[in-house]
Amino acid sequence: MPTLTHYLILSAVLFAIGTAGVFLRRNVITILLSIEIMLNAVNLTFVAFGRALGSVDGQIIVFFVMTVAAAEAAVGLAIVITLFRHRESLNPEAFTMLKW
Amino acid sequence: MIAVGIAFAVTMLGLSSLLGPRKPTPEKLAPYECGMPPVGDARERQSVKFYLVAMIFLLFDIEVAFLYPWAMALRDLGWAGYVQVLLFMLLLLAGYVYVWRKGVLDWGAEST
Amino acid sequence: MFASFHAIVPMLCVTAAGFAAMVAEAFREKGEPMPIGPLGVVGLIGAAVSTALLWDRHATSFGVVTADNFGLFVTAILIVVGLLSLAISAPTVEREGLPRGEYYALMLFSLAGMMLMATATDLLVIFLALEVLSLAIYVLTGIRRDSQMGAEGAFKYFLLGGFSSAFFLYGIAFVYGLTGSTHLDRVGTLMAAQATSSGPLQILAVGLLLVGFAFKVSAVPFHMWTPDAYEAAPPAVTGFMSTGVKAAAFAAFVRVFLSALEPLIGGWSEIVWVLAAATMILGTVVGVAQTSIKRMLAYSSVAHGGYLLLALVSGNDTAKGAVLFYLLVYAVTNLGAFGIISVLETRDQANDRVTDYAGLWSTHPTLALMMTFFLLSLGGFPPMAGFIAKWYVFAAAIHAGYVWLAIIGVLTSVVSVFFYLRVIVMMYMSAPDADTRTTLPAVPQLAGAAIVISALIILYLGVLPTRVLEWAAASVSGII
Repeated sequence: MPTLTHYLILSAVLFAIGTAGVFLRRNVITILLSIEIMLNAVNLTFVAFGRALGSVDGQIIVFFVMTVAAAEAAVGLAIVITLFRHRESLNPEAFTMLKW
Repeated sequence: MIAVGIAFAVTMLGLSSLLGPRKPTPEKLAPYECGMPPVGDARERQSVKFYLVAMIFLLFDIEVAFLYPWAMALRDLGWAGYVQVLLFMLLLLAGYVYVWRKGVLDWGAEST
Repeated sequence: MFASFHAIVPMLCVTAAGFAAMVAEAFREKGEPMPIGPLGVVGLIGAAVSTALLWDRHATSFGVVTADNFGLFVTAILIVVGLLSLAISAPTVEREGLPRGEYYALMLFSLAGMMLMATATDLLVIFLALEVLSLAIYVLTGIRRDSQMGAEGAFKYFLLGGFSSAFFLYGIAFVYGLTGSTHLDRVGTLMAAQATSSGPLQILAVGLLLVGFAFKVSAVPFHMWTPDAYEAAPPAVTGFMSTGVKAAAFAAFVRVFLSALEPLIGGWSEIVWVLAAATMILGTVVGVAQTSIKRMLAYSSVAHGGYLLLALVSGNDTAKGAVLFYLLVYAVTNLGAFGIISVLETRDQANDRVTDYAGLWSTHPTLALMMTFFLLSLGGFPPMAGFIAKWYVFAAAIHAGYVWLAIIGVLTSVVSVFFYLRVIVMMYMSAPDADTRTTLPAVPQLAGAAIVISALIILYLGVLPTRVLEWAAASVSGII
């Protein structure tokens, strides 16, 4: 029987995978997906806590986070398309006009 | 039960790969694409239109997520809830009108 | 039913103006001039009137937005930011041929998000407001679609912004798990009850929230996006985002950390101490080395974030009042400075290198004088408002016993004077290049008026600060 701790560990692992993906992957779309993984890991945390506390607040919060994630993905994809039109590349190392 | 199922599947797959005849032809080795012979490069450039429509779908798709809970609590929320959902839909409608007028939904050949 | 809407009327006005701008843009024929900017002004005036009416009323909406005086003061700052930004944006929109409805609608939506962030008293609403303001700003950063730099800056800003908001949200999740609520005053009470036995989860929650806020206020080491985004965006947008985002983020930062998480202050004050010191030092030292005025002002903005963190770590009522006054002064000064950069830009040339300002005094004497005012105020020279603002922050820090941090602050602001003075010396002492004399454009009236008004405000706040200071000090009592 999985307990709250199991869910928290799972979501922490997912969050860590997302974080690692943002730093390590060399494709812009994969980086966007990694951010989505991070947000969904947080969603899992919310649902797990909500269940453990016996309240529906956690699930309601997830609705809002999903909306935010969709809006963020839309804006992110739009920016990636503009970038791609200038550079014809999805490798972030090609984007070197500004120094980091 | 699970063990029997797995054993059965493994046996059948193993037998068919051992006993089945094997005559590879180029058509058989090509990746299966709905029965048609594959045409062109799979990495063909798509029109930006596709991305735009995907993005807009993403946004208008999520709005339904808010309508389900409202529909479940329709009677409890009463007119106040109705007005709030109406306002929510009106705001989205404004976005829809904007997208429409900006020509994102035009698929005709004359649009660029 | 309508009484519950009172606290959100200011942001409703701004949102309505934003929607009107969007619909107007939808029905605008290509090239048809339409007064969309003035529409935004109408919305902001509505917001200003409702803010004045809400003053001292302590209205609450739906239990998640509270229009207390602290929030209303920040709302007032944001209205000033909005009006000045609209004024200095007008020539940019004309020159670059930007879709005006889109530009102003995004600006107004993001202003509404900032106002919501400043008055929200629920962590989830703070997160939503943060996203509303950020998403609009990401797009504004890359609004020049033909500019590759704009797209790159927008992408970097978006990437790090999305990344940091995931951390922020994870922090909210742990706060929710620990207390069963996201409402700030319930979180505060329950955290106070648990404070004696604060375990790893509390520290994790505070740490994640801190990372999220640190990204938004561009505190070192989470400042990497700042110079890139500031350089890539049109200067009018940079002025808007450097001031508006900072005001909104610090308002929420103060609200969350000095009320809900105050019981855990022993756990976070040392981390914020280090952040503040690192931010002030790095912002100043790297700023000295910049050759582009926009990047220099970006690092100056990082350093100013450090001074505000210094006030935050002090944590007493004087410090909260100092934060409000500092935000106001910084907003007006920085918008003025970016307004000047914006009017000196042409379609083909950014004109943002320090050497482009050589001899500005002989070609545009008024602009040179105004720029001098703004730079001196940013550096904290006595007759300007920046001096009073810094004085109060340092006084609050010393009062709270953070003498070393105050000393670092004074030293870095002395060093920062060097790079502001470099520009001033360039403007007055050097002869203009033969070719820059012709490329610098004439100043548009509206933007010029906004710049002069900003200069007058910082002079007024510098010479007669008492009234506004008392106002700021009075509005910090009773923050939820």
